[in-house]
Amino acid sequence: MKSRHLIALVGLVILAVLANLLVSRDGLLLGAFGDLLRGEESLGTRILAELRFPRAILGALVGAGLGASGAALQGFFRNPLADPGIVGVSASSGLGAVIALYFGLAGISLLMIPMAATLGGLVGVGFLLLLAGRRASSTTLILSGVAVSAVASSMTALLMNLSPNPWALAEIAYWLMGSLADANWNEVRFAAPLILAGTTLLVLVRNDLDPLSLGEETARSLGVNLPWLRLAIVLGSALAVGGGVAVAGAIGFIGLVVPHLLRPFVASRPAALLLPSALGGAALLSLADVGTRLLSGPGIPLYLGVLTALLGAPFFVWLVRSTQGRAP
Amino acid sequence: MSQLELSGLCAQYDGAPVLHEASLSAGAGQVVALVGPNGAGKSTLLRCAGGLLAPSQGQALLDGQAITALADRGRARRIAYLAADTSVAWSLEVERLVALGRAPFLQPLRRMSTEDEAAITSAMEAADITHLTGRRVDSLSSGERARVHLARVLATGADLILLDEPIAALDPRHQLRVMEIVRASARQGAIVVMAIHALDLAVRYADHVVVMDEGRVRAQGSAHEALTAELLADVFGIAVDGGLKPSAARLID
Repeated sequence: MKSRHLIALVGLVILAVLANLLVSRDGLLLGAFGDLLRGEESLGTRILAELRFPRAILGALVGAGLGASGAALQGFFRNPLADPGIVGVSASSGLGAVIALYFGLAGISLLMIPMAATLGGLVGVGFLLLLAGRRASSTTLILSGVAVSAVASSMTALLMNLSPNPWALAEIAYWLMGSLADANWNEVRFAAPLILAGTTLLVLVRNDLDPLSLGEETARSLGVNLPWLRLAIVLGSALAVGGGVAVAGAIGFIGLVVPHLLRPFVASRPAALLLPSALGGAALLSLADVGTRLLSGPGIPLYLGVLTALLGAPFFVWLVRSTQGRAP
Repeated sequence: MSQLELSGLCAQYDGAPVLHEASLSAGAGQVVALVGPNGAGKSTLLRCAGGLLAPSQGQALLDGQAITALADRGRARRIAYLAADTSVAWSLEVERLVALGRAPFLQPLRRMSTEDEAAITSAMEAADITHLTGRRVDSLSSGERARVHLARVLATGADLILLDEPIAALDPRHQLRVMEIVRASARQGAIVVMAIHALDLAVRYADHVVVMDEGRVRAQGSAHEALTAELLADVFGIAVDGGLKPSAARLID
């Protein structure tokens, strides 16, 4: 990526995070921001410090994790349609959280939901590796991911079916729609290390993605240790995405859209796409979060996962049609 | 001087044997042609020689060392491999694809060294693709693309170069150009082992011809020793009136 593009992308991330921090339905929180800088305390500064800052930070982190793992998975599967959803991380993290909600574990501690979601993601990945085997081809891994997703989704549906009362059902349904509205510093402390560790792992192995453009056998002939790379990609994605699902619920399509938009700027090199996709994911998710606040009606919140799906699904359809029969 | 020794190699995929007791030895500067009908075991032999498939019996040695015992990156620096399937997943730039030949030398989080850059430049010159710099591989003709892949293989500077049907689907002129590049890299000290269907080109360019059929080596030696009329009839089911002659085609500028 040319340095002027990189600078523009970093600038976009800063603007998007600032917008997520300051934009609200009633205008900008500039007065409160000024108070905060002067060290004065008011209702506005408390909103900023206790709600908006964690929300803006989480938005950027969750988006970065989704963007990075989308780029890594697309490079690994050599397929522009790959997405964190495809290896089953999103669905199994979701199942973990739903189990916690169903059994009322959230009453024990608010951190039970994120913990259960992360655990669910890792268990899902464990199953994936068992199912696909150590030397699985990309096709096997994709199919195994679809299978893990299907199992997780059906279990989630079962728990919703069995939920004891409409309120429990509503709680699960709202959680699954994905939102950053309840972000707090505890969630930042929980999710940040997971997302950063996962993203770092993906960044460290990114150079192996370029030889993989020539196929698995040729990549091996160029010295790539495929079983190790596979483990690093899957584990890195589980942490980077699972940590995000844990605090924000299921947010789709960021990992699909961002690498695709940035690919022309890195001459289609999968290794060079990873860091820009992390930045792009941070910017896009922050802007989407601003969008949910501006578009929400009084008393009717628009959920973040719903907004990204509404924007992402038509894009996915377009992508399927436009990538048929040529290398992206 | 490098030496490749394959002795008594047997290999199987999912329990089905595809290679029986194949042996072959080749030294630096030699071009070895593997000929035989589809499914004869040529690709499997190349995979064993490249350390990509562990033989179930027998040994594959490079300078006396078992190839499967070499560490991944060390092996990748010494053995370059061009698969029959040369599809590229992304629309990469030509020089980026050639640079992948240097992947075994890259240090994590470091840029390419001047040595890497020099190897890429000279490989692109050798394959005559310097003028394609900046083009996307998916915009090239199959002849150009074949030379780009060959340049990627040359950029590694390997002791052993394994090519699986590098001239399949190329026009006569491009076939000759690729064979000339292959010959030149052997002249610089590499061992080249290639699977090839064009018998007249094998006769002309190879120092050693290995005839394979149904997973076995049926004959090997110089082209005339190996490609006898009986064997051509038996293995390929063809008769060549007046005997097999080397290709007489030449490049004109």
